[in-house]
Amino acid sequence: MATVKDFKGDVSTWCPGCGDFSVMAALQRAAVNMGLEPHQMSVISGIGCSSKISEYTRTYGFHGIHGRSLPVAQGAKMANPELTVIASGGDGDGYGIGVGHFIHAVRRNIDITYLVMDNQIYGLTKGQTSPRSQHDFVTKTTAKGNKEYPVDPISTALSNGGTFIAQGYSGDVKNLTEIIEKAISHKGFSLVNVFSPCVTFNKINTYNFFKDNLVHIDQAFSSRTEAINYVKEHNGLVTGIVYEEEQQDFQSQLGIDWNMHVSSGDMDADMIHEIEKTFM
Amino acid sequence: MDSLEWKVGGQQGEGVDSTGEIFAKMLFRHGHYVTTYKQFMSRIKGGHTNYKIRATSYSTHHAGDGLDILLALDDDSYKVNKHELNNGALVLFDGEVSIEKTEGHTLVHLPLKQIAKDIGNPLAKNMIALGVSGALVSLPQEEFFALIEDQFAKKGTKIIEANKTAVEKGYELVAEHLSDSVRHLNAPDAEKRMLISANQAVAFGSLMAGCRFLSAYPITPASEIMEWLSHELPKVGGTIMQVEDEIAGITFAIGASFAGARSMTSTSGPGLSLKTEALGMAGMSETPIVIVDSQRAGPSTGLPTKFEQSDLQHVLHASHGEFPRIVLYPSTIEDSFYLAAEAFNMAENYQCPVFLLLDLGMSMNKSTIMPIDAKRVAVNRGKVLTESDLEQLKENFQRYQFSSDGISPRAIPGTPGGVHVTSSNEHAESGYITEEPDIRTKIMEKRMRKIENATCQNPFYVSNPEADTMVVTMGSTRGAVEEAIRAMSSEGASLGQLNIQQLHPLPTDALRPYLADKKVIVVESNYEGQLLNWLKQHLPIHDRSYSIRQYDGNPFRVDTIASQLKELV
Repeated sequence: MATVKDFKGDVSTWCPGCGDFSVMAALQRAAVNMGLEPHQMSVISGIGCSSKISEYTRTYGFHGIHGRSLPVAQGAKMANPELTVIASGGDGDGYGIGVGHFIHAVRRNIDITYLVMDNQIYGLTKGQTSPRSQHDFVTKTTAKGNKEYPVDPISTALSNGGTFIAQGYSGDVKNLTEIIEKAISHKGFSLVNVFSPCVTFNKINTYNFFKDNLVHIDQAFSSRTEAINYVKEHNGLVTGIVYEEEQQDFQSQLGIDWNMHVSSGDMDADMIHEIEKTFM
Repeated sequence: MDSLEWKVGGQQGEGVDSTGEIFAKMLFRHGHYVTTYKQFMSRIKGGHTNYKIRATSYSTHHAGDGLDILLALDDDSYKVNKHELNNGALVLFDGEVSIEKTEGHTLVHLPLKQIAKDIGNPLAKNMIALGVSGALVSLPQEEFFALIEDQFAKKGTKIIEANKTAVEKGYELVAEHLSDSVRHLNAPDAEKRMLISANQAVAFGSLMAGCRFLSAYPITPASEIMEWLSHELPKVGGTIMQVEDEIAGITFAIGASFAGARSMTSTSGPGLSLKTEALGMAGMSETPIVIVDSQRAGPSTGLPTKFEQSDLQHVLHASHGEFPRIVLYPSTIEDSFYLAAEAFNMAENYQCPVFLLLDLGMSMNKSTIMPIDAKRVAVNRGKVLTESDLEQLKENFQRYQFSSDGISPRAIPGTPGGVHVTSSNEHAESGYITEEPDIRTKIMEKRMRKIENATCQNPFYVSNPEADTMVVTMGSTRGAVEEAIRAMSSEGASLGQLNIQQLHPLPTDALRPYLADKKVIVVESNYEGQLLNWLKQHLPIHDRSYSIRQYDGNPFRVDTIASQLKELV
């Protein structure tokens, strides 16, 4: 049985107090609780502070390019349905450059878990506005306040057919661990958006801010409409599993007997002949 | 009569394509070598489109410059294609019966529409015209019937019978009005070969080479690769995914390859532009990937359905920074099959992106090739460590371990003992991020060294190597140049031909003797002379090299190449 220590990768360069430490701890704890071994898992990320989680968590990691963790992760899961695949990264990575992939991953429902560390700012590039920055937020690129309104990942996932939609908070590792376990267990695409404060650049959405404003959902909503309304009423500041629905995942629907690992010389002469005939 | 050049022209959506397909197959089954070329516009209905077929008694890679029979189903057909008519050509129009000789060819009007209506099958105008075509070159009617039975098997006996009647009417029309024009087309033999496009050949070759995953976005002229594999891959436990955009097309495939599947993406120039950042990721993370770029005329949306060979510069340098890549460009449809299969071995042996260039001239057009030689396709997955290999490691697995050939062993996710991070950031041997200058230098050298000696089985083809002048080509341009040289050689010119199929790494040492001390003429379809410039970077041909270029959206004609070669020789 693997322990949390077995899931520790490279030494982290995150700032002291960064919310991402707790997200990583929750992910590692969830994997241990579920009896997973590092080689059975793949953490696939894009670019940014939070995307370094694939380096710091010891699994078959893939540290890729900005905004593309989801397609890489879905491709990996397509090739190897046995692998537990976690796509992860930040709100800039996932809801900025990667927002197109996000919506398509939601509606496609491949069995992976998407773990987003949402700090509502660009950290690694040192403090610019993010697609999750709140209206009027003053940052290095919005001196007169952000004139845009934030992307709402939860209602986006709800309205695009998401089958597991949850939100966690770095300040509550216990709850976050439970959510991640359930997300991994869910057969299909699962979104876990985590409020993960940036202690260096975001002086608004702090630990105290979340402590004062977050509302916990004890029981997932059974209707998408109710869930969307509730999330909107609370300005998105909710934690817990918002919605879950059982639905066949993408790969089960295809009904293919997966055999992507090709051994050498594995060619069926009859099949070749059948194909040749179609060109004759 | 040893060869036939035939074309059907009409409005898009009128069935021109299926008419051409049926006649091509008819000639092919009758034992001819067939080469086709389709011209169409980037729209679904309306606008002139045509389908050219050349049937010969010998193997060829060019659809020919001329026309013996033109089926003019719309007003533009004659206007647009008139200049191609050979002496003695016959042009068939719909209308009141009339036969008129003019400018060396014969204009024939036959009541195709009226007859189609009379036999209760108003859509059968094309099939009647096909019957006329078959009768004019004495193809046996029974073989036409057999083909129709195959072609329309799914549509039921009623459709089959209606089409047979239409073809019969075509034969009757010729007997009644055109018996003087009937010629006999010699069939060389009835040996079974394959009639296939480069897109289909690449898809088939990939399947046989063990490709089990393709993710792509629809784009002309590459879509057919994805469409064909969508039927075949599920039968062997693989699949295709039509994903949200070109970037997802390549990144899905990279993810699948990382997880152990042989995977590919197929696209054309505009799609490749979008894929370039992820291309660098494959290079840096050393993830194998095959990328098919079926070139069309650019830049930007350019001429989406037209011919050009102008992506060479792009694939040689696409993405920022430096990383190893391999660029292959088959020069025949047959080689498209074998090079596609080889591309997967090279991608995994060298753990890098491999480009397979095609062009619209071969992608969407068909040619007769020999049946597949399965012995020429072997799956070689390169340095992949198994669970027991990994068990024997004394230290932790190092994904990017320094090695003399620059290639480090891989461990596939899911395998115990091989846990590591695959990284697009600069990394140490472990895969972990580093910015340490010495490691950066060493690992950069390791990566770049990998492909120094990479070579495919047939990196180039040479004919007449002792000639005074060497004509260099790539891709489907090979066919027209071959014929131009053949024609000129019979007039005494000393011309050789060099078709380069591996463009990067360029097999410079092997090419040198064929290009030394002689005139070099590069024929290519782009403005800048990209192939010539690439050769000049590697070989001292600057003071004796010449260029023939065309970028009007159409493939080269044999006669224009011949006349330009004559000026340069």
